Amino acid sequence: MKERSGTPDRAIEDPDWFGNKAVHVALSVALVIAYVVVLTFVAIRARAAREYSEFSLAKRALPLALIFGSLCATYVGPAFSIGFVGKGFQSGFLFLIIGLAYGLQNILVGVLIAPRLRALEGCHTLGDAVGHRYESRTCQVLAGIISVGLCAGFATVMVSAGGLVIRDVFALPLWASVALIAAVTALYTTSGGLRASVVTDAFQFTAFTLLLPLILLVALAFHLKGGGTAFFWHAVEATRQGVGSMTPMELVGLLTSFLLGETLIPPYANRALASRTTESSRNSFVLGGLFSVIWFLVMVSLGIVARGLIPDDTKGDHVLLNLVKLILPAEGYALLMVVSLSVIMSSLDSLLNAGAVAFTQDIVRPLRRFSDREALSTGRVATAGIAACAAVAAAGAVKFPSIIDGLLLCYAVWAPAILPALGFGLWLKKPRPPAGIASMVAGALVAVTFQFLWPQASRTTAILPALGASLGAYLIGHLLGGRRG
Amino acid sequence: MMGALVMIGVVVASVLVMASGVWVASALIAAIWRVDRTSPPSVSKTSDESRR
Repeated sequence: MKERSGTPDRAIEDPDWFGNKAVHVALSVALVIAYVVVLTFVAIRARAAREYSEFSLAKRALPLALIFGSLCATYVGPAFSIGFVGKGFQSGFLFLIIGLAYGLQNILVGVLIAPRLRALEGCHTLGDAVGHRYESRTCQVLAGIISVGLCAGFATVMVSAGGLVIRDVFALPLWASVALIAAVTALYTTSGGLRASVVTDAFQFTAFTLLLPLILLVALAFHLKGGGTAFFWHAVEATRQGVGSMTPMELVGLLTSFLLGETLIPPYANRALASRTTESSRNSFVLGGLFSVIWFLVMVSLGIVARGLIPDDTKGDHVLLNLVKLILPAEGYALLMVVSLSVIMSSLDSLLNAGAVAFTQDIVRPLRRFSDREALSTGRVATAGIAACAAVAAAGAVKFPSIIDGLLLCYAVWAPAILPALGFGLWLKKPRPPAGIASMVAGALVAVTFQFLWPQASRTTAILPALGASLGAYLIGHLLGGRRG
Repeated sequence: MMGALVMIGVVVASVLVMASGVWVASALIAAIWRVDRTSPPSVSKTSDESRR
């Protein structure tokens, strides 16, 4: 554990300080090691995948509770936990209202898209579904390239966040910290595929859904002065500040990002495809959407409680950490590290598996015929490859201002590049390949170009012009294109 | 009054989140304990097809 400020003075005043400190450090390290041991046990029990269908879709035998837990564990990354606590601290319930768009998106996907996706026979990925509906290999390969790129981008953000946590706990250099988090996650995902990812996600989901609300209840019961009335007025004041600090255009951009940005990204699509039945596919997304609402309420409430307890100028990403340091004993810090690792690894393993399956199924398979064994090997190598690329990028090759900025960049590309092509592809009776290709190319190009031309605005609004370009290109492609491309 | 209502909402949300964790944990325990005894069925049909 890192030394905190004021250590030498306290050591001089209290002769037992070093003894107590050693006990706290030992307990904290023991807590982190115990978590890693239990996680390893769960990953081993998930067993190695023996067939490609087990690696990619866990043989479509996953029950509702595990799909639900894994789905929620995947979307609750650092942004939806640590980031939302910071937003609650700065802008009260504003981000709860914005978060409702995310819940609505999950429910709409559950009702409208997930069952249709699950009903497609023999599809392993979103690219597979796009290729199947458009009857076009070009569409599948294009969707595959976008999927792999997005998974690698998201994985870089997650490895970067995980590396910072590891560095903080064990005081390792950044390169070693990112290598450690990428290697441990890649190890069990490479071996067990989707089943290992889902089972470990369920364990990690259990860890953070028990620990974070517990921290909130402790803060409310023992530390908040003034009770419910004080909490209410902190919330009102913060929400008023939050609404005042945002332009209507930024608000629309944020709502659009939360509504569409993460819609059916490859790990979610894999879970929709891997569920046991169409009903469990639909129900897992609907329950996931409802869960996001109560989860966001708990996270922003942690931020609001912190307003009465920690300094007003605390940075958003440090609010949860400072709150935990204040209200829990020293082991609470280690507890928070465990929670953070759970949150990060559960998202990272899903991204690695989804990227590897998209690479195998959508990029390599359409170009080359190979056996089940070769597909399994390719998937495993791709998992390790994406993890390695993410680790190299996170160690310093790629710079992004913050975790949320990195995620928003990925959102701004994903929604315009894939959603119109996927949505129309699933709903139109005879979707036309040129429309799908034009939509994916235009959406991706406009989103990426916008990031470089107007990077400050692009954090929230790049998604809007890119989505417009994608929809326009789809319409033109549909009107001009023939049935086959 | 409003303060009390908001507090009740927050406490209920916390309990629901924890209950979700317990539900998933029980499914997880069942899944990892059963894994050695039963191999997962090779299901590729949709439930709609199964009903036919």
